[in-house]
Amino acid sequence: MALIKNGRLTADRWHLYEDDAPLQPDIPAIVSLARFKAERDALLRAHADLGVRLEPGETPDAIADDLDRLSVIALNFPSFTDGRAYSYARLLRERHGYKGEVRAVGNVLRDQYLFMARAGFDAFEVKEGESAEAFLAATKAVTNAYQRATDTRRPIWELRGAQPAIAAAAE
Amino acid sequence: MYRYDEFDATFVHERVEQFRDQVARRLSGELTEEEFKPLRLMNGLYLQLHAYMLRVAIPYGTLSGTQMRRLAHIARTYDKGFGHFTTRQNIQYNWPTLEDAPRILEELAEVEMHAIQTSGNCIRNTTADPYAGAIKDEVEDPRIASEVIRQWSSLHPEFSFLPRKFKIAVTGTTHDRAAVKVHDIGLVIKRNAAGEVGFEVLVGGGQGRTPMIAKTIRDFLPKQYLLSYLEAILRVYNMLGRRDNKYKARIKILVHETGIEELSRLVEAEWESLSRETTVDLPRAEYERIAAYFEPPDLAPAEASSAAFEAAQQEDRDFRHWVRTNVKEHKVDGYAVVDISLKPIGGVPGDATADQMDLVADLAERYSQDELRVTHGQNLVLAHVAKDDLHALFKELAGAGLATANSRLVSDIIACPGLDYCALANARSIPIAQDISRRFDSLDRQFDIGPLEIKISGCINACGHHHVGHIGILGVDRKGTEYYQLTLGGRADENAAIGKILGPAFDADGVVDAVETIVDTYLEERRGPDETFLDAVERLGFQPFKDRLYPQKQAAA
Amino acid sequence: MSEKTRSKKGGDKALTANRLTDGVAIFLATDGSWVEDAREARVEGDDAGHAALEAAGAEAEAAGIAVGPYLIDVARDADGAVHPTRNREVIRARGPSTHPHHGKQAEGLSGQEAA
Ligand code: SF4
Repeated sequence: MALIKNGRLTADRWHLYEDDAPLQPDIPAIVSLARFKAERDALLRAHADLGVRLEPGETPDAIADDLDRLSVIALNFPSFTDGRAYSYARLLRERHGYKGEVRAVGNVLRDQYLFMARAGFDAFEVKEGESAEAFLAATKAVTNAYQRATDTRRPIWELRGAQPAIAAAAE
Repeated sequence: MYRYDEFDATFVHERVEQFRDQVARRLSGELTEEEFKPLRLMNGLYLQLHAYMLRVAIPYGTLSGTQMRRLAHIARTYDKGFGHFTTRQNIQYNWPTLEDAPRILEELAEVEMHAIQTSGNCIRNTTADPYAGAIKDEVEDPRIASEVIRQWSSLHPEFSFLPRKFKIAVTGTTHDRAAVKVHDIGLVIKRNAAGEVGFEVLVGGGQGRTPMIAKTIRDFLPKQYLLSYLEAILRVYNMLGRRDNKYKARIKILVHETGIEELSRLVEAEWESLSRETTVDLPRAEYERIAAYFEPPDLAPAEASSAAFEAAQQEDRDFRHWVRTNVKEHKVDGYAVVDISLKPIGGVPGDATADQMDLVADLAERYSQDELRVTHGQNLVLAHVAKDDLHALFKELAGAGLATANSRLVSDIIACPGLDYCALANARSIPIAQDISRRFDSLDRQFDIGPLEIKISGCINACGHHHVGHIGILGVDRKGTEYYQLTLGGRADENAAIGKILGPAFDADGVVDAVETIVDTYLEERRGPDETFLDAVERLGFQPFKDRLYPQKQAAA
Repeated sequence: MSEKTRSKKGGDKALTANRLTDGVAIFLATDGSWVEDAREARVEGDDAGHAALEAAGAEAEAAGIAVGPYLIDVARDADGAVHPTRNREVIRARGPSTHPHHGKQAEGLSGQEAA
């Protein structure tokens, strides 16, 4: 596995622990939600850098109260066709204001990078051999977007020069 | 009609280039079929029995002459000279190659068309009333909301890998020609007590293995909140819709299992939260920019009754018949809405040749403000024709086999491609439609029978909408032989209902006889010509039909 | 393999797929090439033969020639020509029954005489 973070190939300092593997303190650790729930206090004490991995079906609500102590949330795609994590990523960013790393893991394919990046992912565990250039090309394949999402792209309707007027009314 | 600006144009062109790259990677072996399949499906490219099939989006069924001419050109250049109009107001080509697909998409992009999201587990082409903008009593042209939805849903980063496909339909009148109650989301444009325009939002309708009628999730949604509300529904569905079983993955199952009250509560809560967090809704100026493209055309004032039109009807019997079935009242005096039948007797429902498409493109330009519609009944519509022009138009259509006078009559049959093309089919649909239409070829008999919608699907996926046919026909496979199950009493309008199975299935010959038996029973039992088939079925129940269809059973009982 | 393409257990079988470049239905022939005409298909009647067909299919798929290979039930007619037995595969080998001038039947391939 290679890791692309903020558009660059990066060495991965993080270690993903299986549920029954003993933890080595001081190595940045990503654990499952079940393990996090079971060993929360000990984990937070032993690891300054802790991450949690969520499976489809495990929503960010489950860790909402601890988000400010977690540096990585890994969202798993057991299959790229299971799109629940796109919603989770947006919720992490937009609802919970999460500023740490949101990492796509599992079946992460080039043709999904654009969607993932727009939904709030900033790190991607990708196939060995994937290049940063290919990643950037894929996220730039379509310049503008019709809808607002989590990235910084301004939606086409805004680029057309219209003002976001109606949102105010919803408040 | 909506016209692309530079943003729309760039978007579809980039999308073509992206697909060109994906196709190249597939051909070079870099992508496996498993990886490529969802990518080609997102661009409407299927692999069927005999070849690839390309489904091109015709957003809300509206086309210009130029666009129709391009569809004809594609049929001629990359296919075998014809195309198939579908129940989703789209067109399908049955013989394109994978290597040609990017070039076809490029040709489409040049005329502001695409095949984006005509397949896959994403938000599909939004459909609308084919008479939009042309009929009386319309609150607002449903194509405005449909175009707003088209843009919002295109490559939506959150909703491109939903549990299952997602279909939205919009109608602007209370009489529903868009089948909103059998869509994942149905939108009915209406006014509230204060006179403001908004939507009744229905959710959870659908056909397939478990047909269901949609339920109202919100009585009135002010129109400026359309997109944020849709986003809330889609988010709840994306997170909670079942993914363990593809037959239980549509939103109708979520509605059914969760209950509409609970789902409504979840959606409202999600809507409230996301409205605080982000801006999904279009500003008024953008909505109005889009709406301006759907301003009614400037129709020259004309007399409500045209002497030439009346005279032509007196003289030309075929014309008179065609007017009776295929010409509908327009909201402007002196104009009419014209149904162009793609159901000639014995023909393939929804098929049009490249030459026919070219002709219709010309006729749209000459007679109908350069505007065409595709209906979910697999026919075409010219929406704004001056009554004075009707006779000339009729003669040109008749010369090309396009003036069959059968709109909504028994030979106006909907049929999916079935086992002649479709890799998922259990049985053929088209030959059944052809045989039934031949059986009822007499126009006098069709007039006598009156409105009767027959719909045929080649498998339980129900692309031929058999569940909502007045008579529905479903192809099943019994040990390698094609059989057909009959349903009765379905309808797709504002009183939508799912048809019920009549009894044991028939073989291919038997089913045509069975349909005729049902029709004959109706003719004998009805109170008079004013009692329609559906009314009679409702009054009589199934028994008289069963007695005639399954006499042995009666004798045995 | 989907429910639609599953053949019954045992008996004479041939291997079919769609060609990657144009999607056309193809069949593995006796000489190891892929042909459009089902009548030229290689037929195997026992488990070992079926396994050999499937192995050839996996290879052709990996090589980017064929998409979605699967076994179909076939029989031989009086003069020895191979033809599929299931309705779906008959139509696939022949072309749409509603457009006799489209597909293989138009090119004198597979089963035109039966149409
Ligand atoms: S209903 Fe079945 S046979 Fe007909 S087009 Fe749909 S999937 Fe194919």
